[in-house]
Amino acid sequence: MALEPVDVVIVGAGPSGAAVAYGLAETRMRIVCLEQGGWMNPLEYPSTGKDWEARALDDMSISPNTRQLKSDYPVNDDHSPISVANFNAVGGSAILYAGHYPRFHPSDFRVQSLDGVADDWPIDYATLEPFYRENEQMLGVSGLAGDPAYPPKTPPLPPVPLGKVGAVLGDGFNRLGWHWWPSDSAVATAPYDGRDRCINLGACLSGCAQGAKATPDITYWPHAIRAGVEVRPHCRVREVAVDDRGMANGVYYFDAEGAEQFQPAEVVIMACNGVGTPRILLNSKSERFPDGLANSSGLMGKNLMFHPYSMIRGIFDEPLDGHHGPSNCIWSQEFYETDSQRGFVRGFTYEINRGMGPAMTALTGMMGGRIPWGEGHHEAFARLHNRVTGMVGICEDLPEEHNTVTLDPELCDAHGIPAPKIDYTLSDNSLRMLDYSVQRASEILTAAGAQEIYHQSPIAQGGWHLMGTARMGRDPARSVVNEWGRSHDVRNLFIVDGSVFVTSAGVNPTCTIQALALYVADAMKRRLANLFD
Amino acid sequence: MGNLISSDGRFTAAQKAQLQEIVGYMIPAHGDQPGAGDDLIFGEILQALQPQADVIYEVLELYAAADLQALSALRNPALSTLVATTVQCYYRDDRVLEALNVGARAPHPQGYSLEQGDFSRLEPVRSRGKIYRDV
Repeated sequence: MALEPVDVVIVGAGPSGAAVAYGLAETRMRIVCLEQGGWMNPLEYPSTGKDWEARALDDMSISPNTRQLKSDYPVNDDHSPISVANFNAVGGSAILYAGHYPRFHPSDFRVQSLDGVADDWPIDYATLEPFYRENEQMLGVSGLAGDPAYPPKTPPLPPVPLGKVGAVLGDGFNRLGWHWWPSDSAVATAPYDGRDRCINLGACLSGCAQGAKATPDITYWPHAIRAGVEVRPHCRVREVAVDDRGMANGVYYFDAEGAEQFQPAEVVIMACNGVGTPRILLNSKSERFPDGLANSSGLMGKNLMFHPYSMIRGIFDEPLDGHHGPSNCIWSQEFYETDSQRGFVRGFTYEINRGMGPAMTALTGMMGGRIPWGEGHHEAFARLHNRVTGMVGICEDLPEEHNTVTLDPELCDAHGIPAPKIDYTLSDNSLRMLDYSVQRASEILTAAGAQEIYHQSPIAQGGWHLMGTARMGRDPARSVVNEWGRSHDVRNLFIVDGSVFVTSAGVNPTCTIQALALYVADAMKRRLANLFD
Repeated sequence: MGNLISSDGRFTAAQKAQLQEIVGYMIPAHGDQPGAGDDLIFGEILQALQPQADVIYEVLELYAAADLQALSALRNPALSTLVATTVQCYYRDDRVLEALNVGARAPHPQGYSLEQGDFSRLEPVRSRGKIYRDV
């Protein structure tokens, strides 16, 4: 049954869908956003209960295969050393993100020119810079101006507290003469735009009950909805339809009651990120597009980039912050820019994570053999409680065509839509970078006073960042969308999420995803009169 | 055994007794701090184990073939499930949280305080200057 036509249908209400909706709202076009998840109720987040640590491993787990909520679809990542992490809701995976909010660097857009690998983006830092600023103002990003790892920028809110962890590790970095700085964070450190400030709940990764963490449902979406955008939750899109001219003319989706609907639209915008977007477009086969929609390059679903993460922890004698605080603290980009003497190209960011609550301290201690059963349990626990901290190393992942998202031939979701299948291997470059990051982090933790150090590399569950599978470029033979996000093949189909990334940088992608979405919206507005030319 | 909750239907009385013995050994009492075998805490553990009973039966089979010390040394996914569930229930009990001095409450709405810190620590970083590449 076809519904009343709209001007724009956006698929996905996460960070990119919210930002592009907000960006286009001023056009007064009729805009609808379809989202397979629902609206979150912050009062139901784990930090409002004493079982908050347990719930982070259950219904608020980062793994869709663990959660198995109605809004989830299964992911076959058996052939990947890194598992996909996501969340489906109005707000998307940002509901569970830590809110680390770094920009890309100028060099991140020129990887081929500078370092002889991968490709250059068709846009640069200067192009995105106004949209970075606009996005940071919308969210209320906290940070400290003057970071020598970046061109000048001024976060609108003061930085998150150093706490004991920031002070101890900052001193460690200083002893080595290495870079560190307070993390840019999508966490309100003062009341902002109707949201209250952070009160250090420590449960950022399972949803912010305070509303201080900037997620799309409480930042962009209220503004976009007031401007007339409609969000339809619990609506799962199956495919994008095309007419006999080869133009997208709407999407088929299953509504909240499970009935199939067709939403006609003049423009379709995909905002489902690096797994969800290629999944739907590969499923959008037709006589004209037998290999899936917008795939004449053959690159849809290819060049999947995660960020391989190392995790390094130190055990200290003195009590630190435990789980108190936003998990974000300080970061280091000492090893960010390429130095070929290290044995790999590109680089990584260290992001310091404060600590754990008592249950996670005990669990990781017992699983790691540091806390025994029986007699010695409590003494060993006391040695770790509030005394473990460290960092993750976010390693740039180079694009490789054999790393793919395809449609699983057998596994389906509850609506019969093929599940995504992930095939991914870690490159030699990534492995060398991960090893290097573990060694340097051990030096930092030792310099800071850690008595014992342990690590996990890569973090197997760490597939938080999903990029590259519908890459941006000027050459239709080597890219899926053009330099302002429009499909080369289907001129009224746009992609605004992490799929379009040409390279991954060595930083969290959400800041750049949202800036890109605003940039694409701006590019569309400038070309409204001849958008499909 | 005392006031166990009623929704413990997937385990026989004997199995419950064995599980209580295992978790009681895993995390024993410590001064005023109860152990995981405490009736209230074990009741929580038992309730949380119901959906995972099939996995826990495997733990009981392992226990039939080994003493508690040997059990604690095994690396087994079913045991990991029991450990995780026990730890999560134990370390949210009010008496345990009070004994650890972390407060028997949810994080929200009170939150916690954290030192803002002295950002003059960044002077050595500032004085090194720019570290990003121009393009």
